[in-house]
Amino acid sequence: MKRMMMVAASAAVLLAAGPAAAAGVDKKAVLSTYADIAHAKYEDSLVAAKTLKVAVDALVAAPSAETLAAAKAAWVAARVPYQQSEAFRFGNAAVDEWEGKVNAWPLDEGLIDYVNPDTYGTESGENPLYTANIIAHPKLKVAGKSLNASKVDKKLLEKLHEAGGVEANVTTGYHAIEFMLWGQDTNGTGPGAGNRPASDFDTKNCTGGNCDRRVAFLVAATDLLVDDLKTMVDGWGAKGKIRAKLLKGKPDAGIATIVTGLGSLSYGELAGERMKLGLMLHDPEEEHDCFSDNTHNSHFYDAKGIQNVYLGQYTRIDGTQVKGPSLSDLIAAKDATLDADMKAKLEATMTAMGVLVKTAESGESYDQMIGAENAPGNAKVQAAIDALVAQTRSLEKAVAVLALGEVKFEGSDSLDNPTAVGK
Amino acid sequence: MRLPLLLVVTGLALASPALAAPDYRPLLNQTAAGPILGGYKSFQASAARLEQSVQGFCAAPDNAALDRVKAGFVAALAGWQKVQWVGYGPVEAFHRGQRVQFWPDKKNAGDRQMLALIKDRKADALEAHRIPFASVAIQGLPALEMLLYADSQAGKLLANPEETAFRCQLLSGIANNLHRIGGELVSEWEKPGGTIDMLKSIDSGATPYADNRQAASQLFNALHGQLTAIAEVKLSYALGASAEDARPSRAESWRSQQSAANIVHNLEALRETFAIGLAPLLSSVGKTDQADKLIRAADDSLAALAQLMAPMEVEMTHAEGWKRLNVVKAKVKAVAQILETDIANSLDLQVGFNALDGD
Repeated sequence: MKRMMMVAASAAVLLAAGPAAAAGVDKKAVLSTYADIAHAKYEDSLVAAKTLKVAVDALVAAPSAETLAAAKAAWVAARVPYQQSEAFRFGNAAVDEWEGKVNAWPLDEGLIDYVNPDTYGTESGENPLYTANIIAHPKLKVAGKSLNASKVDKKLLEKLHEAGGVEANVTTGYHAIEFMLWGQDTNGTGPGAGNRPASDFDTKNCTGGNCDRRVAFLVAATDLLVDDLKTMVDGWGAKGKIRAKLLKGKPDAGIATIVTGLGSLSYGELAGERMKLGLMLHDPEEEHDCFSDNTHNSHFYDAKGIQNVYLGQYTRIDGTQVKGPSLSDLIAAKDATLDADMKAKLEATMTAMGVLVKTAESGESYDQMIGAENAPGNAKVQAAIDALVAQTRSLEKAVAVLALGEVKFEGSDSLDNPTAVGK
Repeated sequence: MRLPLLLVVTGLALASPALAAPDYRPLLNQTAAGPILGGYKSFQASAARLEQSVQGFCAAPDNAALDRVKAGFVAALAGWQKVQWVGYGPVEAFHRGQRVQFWPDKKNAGDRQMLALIKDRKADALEAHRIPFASVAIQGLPALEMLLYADSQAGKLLANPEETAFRCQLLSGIANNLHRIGGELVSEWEKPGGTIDMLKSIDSGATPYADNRQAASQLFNALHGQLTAIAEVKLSYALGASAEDARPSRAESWRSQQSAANIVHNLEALRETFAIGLAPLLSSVGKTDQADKLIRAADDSLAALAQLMAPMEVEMTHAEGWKRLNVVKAKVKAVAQILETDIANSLDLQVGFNALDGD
């Protein structure tokens, strides 16, 4: 269960805002820009996923340090547009329902492949399939029933995704592929990412056992990612259902959708679940891209996506721009000071995120930054959390100014009352 | 953090002009001086006794002394459950709440981190000067429970002198931490200029609260939030759809089998707050009947808990026991329902967030 915090415009603010201030900005045009940016981001994600597929095919055809490095680089590049699309997740029910297939996290990687029991452990009260190791087992037992897993293909991966109703059983999407390419990060909060050898995919000189099944898993997961991204590109295309629903609905409901997405990602999801929780636990497993140590980029591009949706201006991976009337314009027409404040807060977040990227690129990865007793690293992460919370506060004022009525932002157990927890 | 954030933009001051605004000050003051400060003092005292029992065990380790440590753990846990509903104020600062009890732990972080710490013999991570910087999952009640009750760990407490000495360092570190955090909470509430004083001076305009109603809303939401947490997390999450589907290890204190006792302590604390704080306020607006109804509903849920025939971790695994727990859940939800409808209306307060949609 997700907890929501409701933001409602007070009667007083409603009266103060008045009807006259709407001057000049067409809400439908704002929604149209929003849908255009969504389409561009998912299309970019699809292009990058196809490039990843080419690199994965090259890896499994001729496993070597070079082909593995190329596949990893393609994965990192594929994350850039996708993370920027996360601003569309909350608020758009169709995206939120779909999202679990491509970006489910965190995952119990022992479900998929071998892990080091010393760092991973051997059992979990939460997950009976904690160490099921699909790659090593053509026969599995799921919720008391035996399951034929002899053929590792897209169908099997889809069947085992969230097996037993446990969300940490992730077999599809970016993070399953990430685990395939990097392997478990056994360095804790010390330096180093996952370090899977290319020979894990070498059916002739196989390390790690069952290389044929591991290859099949990686290929199937990458194919599925491409398939799933196509769904989103279609959904936001000129004749797409998600776009149509947004543009044919009440304009204010559409604007509320935009704000919900920005607020929920800023607050509950990114600041709370992905950052604050990891910081409290000093736990590398709570790192979003924990196998690849690419978390700094994931967070940076999440924030970037929030900023460019607000501004109505997205730079595509080919360098071209998608831009048009924006939420920023809409707010500026009613309260120019608030718009300026919002822009400054978004920029402050990008600065704080930039510090994380710079720190990671100079050798101290995100999981080290959240380590216990790394006060300077902890402070950098906390600064980014604070910036995200601050931009959420400004966004709440925007809800009031736009007189959107009740808007719900995703909350977080880690930021909010720890006892009022959700499933 | 969420409630003030939310309430800044809510404010239904204009929504009910016909109603004379209730005077929220007695509610705030009585609750702060009574259930909250009293609860924190009891927790602090129980944590102090726990620490003493650990010292006793470590000085002369034997089974009788270990039993005293376990009793000390159970009492400290009970003490915490009485104030668990207070999710705001000093407990929010420095992660104090999560440090006392990080739960639910869906990624198994506590077990994982404790196992790593035990494997690496890193007892110094729990020394007083380092523990505030350690993971919240290894410094509180769940970590202590794991050391005392987990199948893989409990036997090692008296396995040999070296093992006992090592585990004593861990037990002492955690017990001392709990004692210290309890002391901080008491002090932060009662010190001059502390939370109690601040709640008395909201009218001065110099506090983070816009008005007394906002502070009352925060309190009201915390009470409601505890009820939701009992129904949805402490019960539903572990109960699943049937006895076959039930997961005892998802219960709050499954290793010590205190999960049902926890709920009893939660409800007793809420009932006390209803009686001391909400009932007089309801009477002041002519709604004594609603106060009676609320307290009756709280009593009903406690009575349903008294019907359990075995620890909740056992009850949920067979059909009859599962049904009894499901009754508890329904009764707890009924209490929440009275708060969020009748009483919210009568007191011009509102439940500011919901926890309805699943994922």
